[in-house]
Amino acid sequence: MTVKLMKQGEGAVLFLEGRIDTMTAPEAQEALLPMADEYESLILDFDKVSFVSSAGLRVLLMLQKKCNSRGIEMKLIHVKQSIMEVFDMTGFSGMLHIE
Amino acid sequence: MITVALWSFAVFLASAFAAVLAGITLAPKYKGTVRAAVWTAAAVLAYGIAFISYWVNLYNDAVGILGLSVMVCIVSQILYKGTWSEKLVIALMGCLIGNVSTFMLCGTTDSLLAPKLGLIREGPYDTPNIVFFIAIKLVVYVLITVLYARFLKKYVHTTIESVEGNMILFIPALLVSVLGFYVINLFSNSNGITPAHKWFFPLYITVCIIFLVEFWMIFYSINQSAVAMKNAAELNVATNIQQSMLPCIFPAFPEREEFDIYADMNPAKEVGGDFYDFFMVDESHLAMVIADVSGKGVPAALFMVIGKTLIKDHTQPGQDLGQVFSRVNNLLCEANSEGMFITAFEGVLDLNTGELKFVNAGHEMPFICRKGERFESYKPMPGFVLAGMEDMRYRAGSLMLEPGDKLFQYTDGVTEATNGKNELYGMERLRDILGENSRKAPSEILPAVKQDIDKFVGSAPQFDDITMICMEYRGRKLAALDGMPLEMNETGRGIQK
Repeated sequence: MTVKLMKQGEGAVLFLEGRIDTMTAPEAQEALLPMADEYESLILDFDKVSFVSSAGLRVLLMLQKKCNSRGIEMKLIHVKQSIMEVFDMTGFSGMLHIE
Repeated sequence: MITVALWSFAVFLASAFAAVLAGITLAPKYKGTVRAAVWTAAAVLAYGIAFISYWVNLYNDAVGILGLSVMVCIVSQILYKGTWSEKLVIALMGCLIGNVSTFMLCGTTDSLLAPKLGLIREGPYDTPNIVFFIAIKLVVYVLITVLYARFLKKYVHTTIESVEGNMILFIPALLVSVLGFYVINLFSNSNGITPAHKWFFPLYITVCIIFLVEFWMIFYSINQSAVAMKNAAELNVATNIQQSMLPCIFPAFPEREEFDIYADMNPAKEVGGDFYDFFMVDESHLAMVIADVSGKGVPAALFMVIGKTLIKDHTQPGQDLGQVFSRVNNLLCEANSEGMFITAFEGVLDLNTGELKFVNAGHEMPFICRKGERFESYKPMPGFVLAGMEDMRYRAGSLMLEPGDKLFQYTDGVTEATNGKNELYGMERLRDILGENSRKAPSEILPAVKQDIDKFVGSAPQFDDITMICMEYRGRKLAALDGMPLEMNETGRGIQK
């Protein structure tokens, strides 16, 4: 799982690539959570994300809560259909801002 | 004469040092006065042995040092508490440190400094040189004792505890080292490699490094495996506790003919984060729950216990399931420092009418098999997971079950079971295997599905807990007047078949 950063003014676009599962969730957490401290808005590009397990959902939940508490906007873009189904089923599509 | 006396004293000091190390590590069995008396007697005896052996020139080092080491080992067995292997290992450790530091540190400093101080006249065993040697020994021993007490003793105690005093495995390595060192010492002495010799230093440095590495490896790996064994034993107990927490007696309610229910949980690790539950809410309502904690192992298992208890506790007769989950959700959010969440599905079946009320918190779609048909997935209203965020609202749904209908629920360990080619088992395969077994009883359906998953996964490791629950509604049975089963007609009056 890799994260590429592209600054966009005060905000950042994060390009995620690979699987976010039990194995890769800890590094995803380490890479993503600090972003909420450094930028005023976050866009997560899911185009190259192939799979998200419940461990990955947990990281996204933590990140969303952190953004909420800091008043930062966070949104997900280019989410694949298979991952969108997971978001729908777990109700995360109502909680995350997905475009 | 004086040289012999002094040299014996020098040799005796090494064993005295070993005794001190053993004394500060082991737990005493007798009062200080008794210990002092025994050690003094041993010291006198030891010194006497050393003196005599040097006097008669009888393999001085071997008898002197080896003999004294044996004495230290014997006395420490008598005077201290603990297992015999523990006491022997500590005594041998003391002897080894004593002898190695003597030859390494004392020997080398002596051979480097003594000539500079003009102490060596004819040979290294002259009086001034020996006195200097003794002085160095005392300094080195005090230093090592202080360093040992400050830094190493704790580690030694932890190691002893982790193997619970059973140090038999350490003995061979220590014995070999102690004896080996004598052999090397004997060899170097008989070949004239005394402290003044140019090969002395490199030879002993190499030997010391080998010992250090060897001991580090042995202590570390024995420690690790002891810790690992203890963990494994505790996890074993935890597995048993967890298994017995989930209702596991089947058939579950043999006296109730209105339904048949079967469930199974296979944790990926020793303890899992999935759970199922079923219980009678009251005489005519059956509740069934399936849930999945995000995560595996002990943290998920602990959170699972909380979740299961809260759900069961809050599912009371007449309670709206949406409210049940709202309350449980808020309570779980309080108890959640690790940011875990739970996907859950709960259904409450009215055994008289066949109405199944249910609530879904981010869980997978259940499969429903109508009598005579095949299992099809059913899409409940989506809801957010439990313990994700406070003040979420959950809405209960409802559907009617007819006698002969079945409900199958599962966790994502089923659909996300992965084989060696990184393919997922998926909903399609699940629908197919359920379809093939649509006529079977719940207790036959679950093993069939598990078998199919196992076949698909092959030898790839199990990544997630696999949990399934299946319930068949048989309909309400009325008590018959003369033993014949009755059925209700549309007006609600019983007619005899």
